Amino acid sequence: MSALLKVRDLRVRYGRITALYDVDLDVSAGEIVAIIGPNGAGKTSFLSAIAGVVPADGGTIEFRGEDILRLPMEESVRRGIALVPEGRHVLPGLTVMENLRLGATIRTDADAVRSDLERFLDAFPILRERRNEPAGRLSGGEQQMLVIARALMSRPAMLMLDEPSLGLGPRIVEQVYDMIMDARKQGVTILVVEQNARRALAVADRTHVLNGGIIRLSGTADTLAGDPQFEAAYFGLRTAKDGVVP
Amino acid sequence: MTRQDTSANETTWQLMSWERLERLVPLLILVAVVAGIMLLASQFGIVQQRRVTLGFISLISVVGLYVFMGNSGVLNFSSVGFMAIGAYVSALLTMRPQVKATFLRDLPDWLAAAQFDPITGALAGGAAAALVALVVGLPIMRLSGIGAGIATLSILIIFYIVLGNWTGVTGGQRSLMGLPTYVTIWNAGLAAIGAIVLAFVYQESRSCLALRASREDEVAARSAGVRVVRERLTAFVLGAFICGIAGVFYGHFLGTLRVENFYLDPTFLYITMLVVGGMRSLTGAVVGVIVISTLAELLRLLEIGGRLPALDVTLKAPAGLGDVVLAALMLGIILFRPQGITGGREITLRGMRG
Repeated sequence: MSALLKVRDLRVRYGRITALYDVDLDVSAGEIVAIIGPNGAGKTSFLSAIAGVVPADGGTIEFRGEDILRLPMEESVRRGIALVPEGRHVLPGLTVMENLRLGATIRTDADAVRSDLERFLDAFPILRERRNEPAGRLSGGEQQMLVIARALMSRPAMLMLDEPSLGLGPRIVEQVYDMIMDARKQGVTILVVEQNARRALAVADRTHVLNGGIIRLSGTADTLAGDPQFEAAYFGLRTAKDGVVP
Repeated sequence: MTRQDTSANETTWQLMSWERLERLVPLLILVAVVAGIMLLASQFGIVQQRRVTLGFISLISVVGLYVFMGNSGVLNFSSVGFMAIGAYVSALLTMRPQVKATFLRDLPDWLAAAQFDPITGALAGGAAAALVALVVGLPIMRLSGIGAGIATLSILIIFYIVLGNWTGVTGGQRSLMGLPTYVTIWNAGLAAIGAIVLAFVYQESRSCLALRASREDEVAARSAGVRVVRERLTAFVLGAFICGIAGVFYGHFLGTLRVENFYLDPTFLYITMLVVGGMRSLTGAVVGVIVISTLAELLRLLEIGGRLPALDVTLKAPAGLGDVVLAALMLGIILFRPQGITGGREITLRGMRG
C-alpha cells in the first residue's frame, strides 16, 4: 500500500536551534496516526512543516506522490491537507457561520458546501443556535469544535490536528475525539499530535513517540504499552538503546 | 423522501432566505439615511446644499477607504492620491478644448482636441485610479502594520510630487481651472448611494469574507486556503475605483483642481472620519462622515462667530478650534473606544449587529 504522506529526512531549524532531526514518517490513506511527546519535542514543528507554515531545512515531503516541501499553507490546503493549529484559532470577530463558510474557501461546489454546513449545524446544535454570533464568544470547547468543523469544510484528504485536547475538560475532549473518529469514518486520514498520550494511543492505528526532534519509538497502542522503552522514550530518559537522548 | 423531510427542508429553506433578506437590512437603512439627508438638504438654500454635497463627496471617498482598510485591517494613507488620479483624468477628458488650450498647451493632440461626456469621464477617472492601484498594489500588499503605513504614505507623496510637477498634463503647481461643474446634491447623493451599494455587495462576497478572515487571524485564514495578497489587492483596487469617483465629483464640484487639495489634510480628515465612525463596518464609515462633517460645520460656524438671539450673547471661537477639536476627538476615540462609535458593527432594526 503506497503512503498518502511520505516524509523523509525532514529537518527543521529555527536559527541555531534544530527542532527536527531527519524525521521519517509515513501515513497511509484511512489511517489515524498519532505523534506523542512532551512539550518542545518538535511535534508542532513537524505539522507546521507539512502544512507549509514553517519552511523545512531539508528532506522531502510527498503527498499523494507530489512534492509539497516548499508549498505555502494556503496552497497545501488546496492539495487536500487541512491543519487545525494549536490554540483554537477561531476568527473571533466573524460569526460562527462565517467561520464555517470560510472553511469552504477552496471549494466551488456551492450546493455541497451548503449541505455540509447543514450537516455540521445539525451535529452541533449549539453552533446552530449561535450561528450569527461572533465566534469569539463561544466557550473553549465550542471553539475547538468550530475550528475542526471549519477544517473539515475544505473536505480534506488528510486532517492534521495539533493538540486538540489541550486545555479542555474531559467531557469536551471526548466530544472532540468523537468528531475526529467521525471524520475518519467519512474517509478522512488523520494525523494527530498530542501531549495527552493515553488519549492518542486509544484511537491511533499507529503511534510515534517524538522527543528532542527524533522519533524514538513507533508502534501500535498494544506494542507501545508493553514496551519497556516507552516511558524512557517519552520522558527523554537515557537508555541503553539510544545514547543520544538530550 | 418522506413528506416530513420535505416540510423540514422547506422550513430550513425559508429560514435561510429570511436570513438572507435580513442581511440586506443594514444596506437599506444606510441608503435611506443618505436619501433622507439628500431630500432634506434640497429644501435648504444653495449654501447649505453645497456643504451637504461636499459631505457626500467625503462619504464616497471614506467608503472607498473603508473597502480596503476596514476589511483588511491594513493601514492606508494613499486613498486621496487615487482621488487625485480620478479628478485629473476626468478633467482632461471632459474640459472644453478651448479651455485646455489656455491652461495645458503641451497636451498630446488627440487629448487636446477631445471632449467626452461627464459619465465617460467619471468612469475613466475611476478606472484609471483602479488601474494604478493594481500596479502599485502588487508589491505592497504583502505588508501590514507599520510597513503598510509607510508604504502607502510614500505612494501618496509620490503621486503628489508627480502630479505637482507634470506641468504639461496637470498644470503643475498652478490651479487647473475650467472643469465643467455638473455636480449637484442629487448626483453626488446618488453616487454616494452607489458607493455604499458597491461596498455592501463586495462586503457580502466570499472574497471579502476571506479578506476579513485574514484581518482577524492571518495564519488561520491562510490555513483555510485564503490567498491573502490576492484578496487584499482586490479590495485595494475596488477601493481605489471608488476613491477615484470621489475625486471626479470633487473636481467637477469645485471646477478647479490644485494638487494641494489631494494631500495630507484630506487624508487625515478621511481617516479620522473612518476611525471615529468605526473602521470595521460600512455603517461606521457612514456614521463617521455624518458625525465629523456635522461637527466640523458647527465648529466652522462658531469660528466665524454669531449671536444667539435667545440668550442675547455673542459667540466667537478662536481660529483653529475646529482642527483641535477633531484631533482631540480622534485621540479620545482611539483611547477609549478603539472600535469607533459603531463598535465595528452594522446597523439593524434591533440595533447594532455583531
